[in-house]
Amino acid sequence: MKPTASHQESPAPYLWLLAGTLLVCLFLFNILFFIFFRGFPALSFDFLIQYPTEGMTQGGILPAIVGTVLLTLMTAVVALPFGIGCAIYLNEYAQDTWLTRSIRAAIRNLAGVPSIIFGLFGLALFVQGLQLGTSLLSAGLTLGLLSLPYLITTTEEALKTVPNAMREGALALGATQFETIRDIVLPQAIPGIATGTILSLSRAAGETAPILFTGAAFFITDVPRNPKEEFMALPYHLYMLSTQHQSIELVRPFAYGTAAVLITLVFLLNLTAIIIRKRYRTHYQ
Amino acid sequence: MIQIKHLNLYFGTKQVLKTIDLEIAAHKVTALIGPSGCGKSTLLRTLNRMHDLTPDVRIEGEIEVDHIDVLSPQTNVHQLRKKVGMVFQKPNPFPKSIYENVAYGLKINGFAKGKIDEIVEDSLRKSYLFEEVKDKLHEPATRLSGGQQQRLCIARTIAVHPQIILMDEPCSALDPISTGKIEELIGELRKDYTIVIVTHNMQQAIRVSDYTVFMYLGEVIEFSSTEAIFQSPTKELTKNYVKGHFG
Ligand SMILES: Nc1ncnc2c1ncn2[C@@H]1O[C@H](COP(=O)(O)OP(=O)(O)OP(=O)(O)O)[C@@H](O)[C@H]1O
Ligand SMILES: [Mg+2]
Repeated sequence: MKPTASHQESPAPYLWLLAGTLLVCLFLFNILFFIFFRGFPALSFDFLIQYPTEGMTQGGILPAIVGTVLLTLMTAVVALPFGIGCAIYLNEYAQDTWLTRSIRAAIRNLAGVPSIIFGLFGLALFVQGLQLGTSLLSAGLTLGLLSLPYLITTTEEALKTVPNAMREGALALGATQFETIRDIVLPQAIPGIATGTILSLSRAAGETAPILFTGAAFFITDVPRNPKEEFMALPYHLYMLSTQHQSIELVRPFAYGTAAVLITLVFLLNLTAIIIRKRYRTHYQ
Repeated sequence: MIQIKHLNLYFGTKQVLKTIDLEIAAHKVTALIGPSGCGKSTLLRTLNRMHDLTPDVRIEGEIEVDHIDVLSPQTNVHQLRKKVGMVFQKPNPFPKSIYENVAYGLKINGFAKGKIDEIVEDSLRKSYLFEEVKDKLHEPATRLSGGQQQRLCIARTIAVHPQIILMDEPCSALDPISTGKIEELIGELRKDYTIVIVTHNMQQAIRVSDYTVFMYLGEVIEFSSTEAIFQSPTKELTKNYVKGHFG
């Protein structure tokens, strides 16, 4: 729609966009309010630091919190080196050949694979094939795989935002390609990479399907002490409390409480991403 | 200083440089002029092997810089680029501090900190920037004006002690005052360096250069002293171009 001198720009598109935005926000706030309101009775400091007792009708969700945190760390350890390495290879070194084109196509397609498929793949490869059992390690590897496509794509985007003039400037001084990437390209891409990393991890932290068969346990009395042990995780705990528990009505506040904690955790991760991006933006620009 | 023999360059199947033979003199300023797209930048970037990263380039012929066979795959391209520095059309300081920008080339060469400080100051002085930035060496280089940024890029280039400096339209993104400063700087630098500069501005070529190469459609049409090119060109094409009939 082109505004002309004699006609005022029609407000319709603007109102339409505004309505859409408000609607989305309305749903979001509705969900958040509902969860925190219902979960409020269960939320307390003890809820965060106690083990569940009495068939999970009492006590807290400490093992699930610790489990999710450890699982997220494990996912990071698995996904970061491969994901960032792969993105650097694709964007900085790889020529445009049929091979790199097919790698890119594969990555795009992997991003669309439903997470339950990753769960089954993890079960087949890590739990059974590599004999890692249902464990933190297997689940971390599975979630790592799940995060890779997203991580590679966002890292590549971040590397693409670094102007070629920067690379040429360094190369013209006699820097090797490796030095150029290490000293010039990566520092500039780090805010983008960090944001992408954190967002992909926070997405992985909320996943249930991939850990269903690979390591999450309904109820264990302890936090995992080594990567070969099973663990409790917040999303899985929530799923169990709201669908599989024998007295669902009784644990309902706990389910909402768990949801509130999970949302808060994910929110904190996203907040970190925002802060990192802001800090770097104001730093040298 | 630079000998170019029978140089041909192709991007894919398109020939961009056609049998170029040139001998560029040491400690002189040589200007490359010619209409847009005639291959000036391409020729310049061949001299420090900047085409290495471009896919589908084919180069034939020989280039010798200070007894180095530039085009040979055995040549250490990083050593070569330290000898043959380059200043780009758009100022491209790294998003680091002013100091870091100049120090970077020294750091990757493993200079000691004290030595680096000394060379940074010296290079900034040589590029007429020191007085303007001495109180803010650790501030981001991106806060400098365009002209200052370009002088910083020159400082960064001379910090690694090149013998040759290639400049690709170094003033085309700058205002007249900054341009004047850079031209003055080039006049100073010619004492210590061999300079090859691409320019679209004939007046600039006359002001700063000793020799001028006129290129047209990938060929060197005329190469002579700047005075000869602009006062008494021997080729019809050159005459028309320097008189501003096309380009
Ligand atoms: N990477 C590339 N791939 C294919 N063709 C290229 C590439 N770089 C340059 N060319 C072509 O080579 C020719 C010469 O380009 P070049 O940049 O050297 O011209 P120039 O004389 O510097 O022009 P200008 O004065 O506009 O900067 C042009 O026709 C251009 O389209
Ligand atoms: Mg050019």
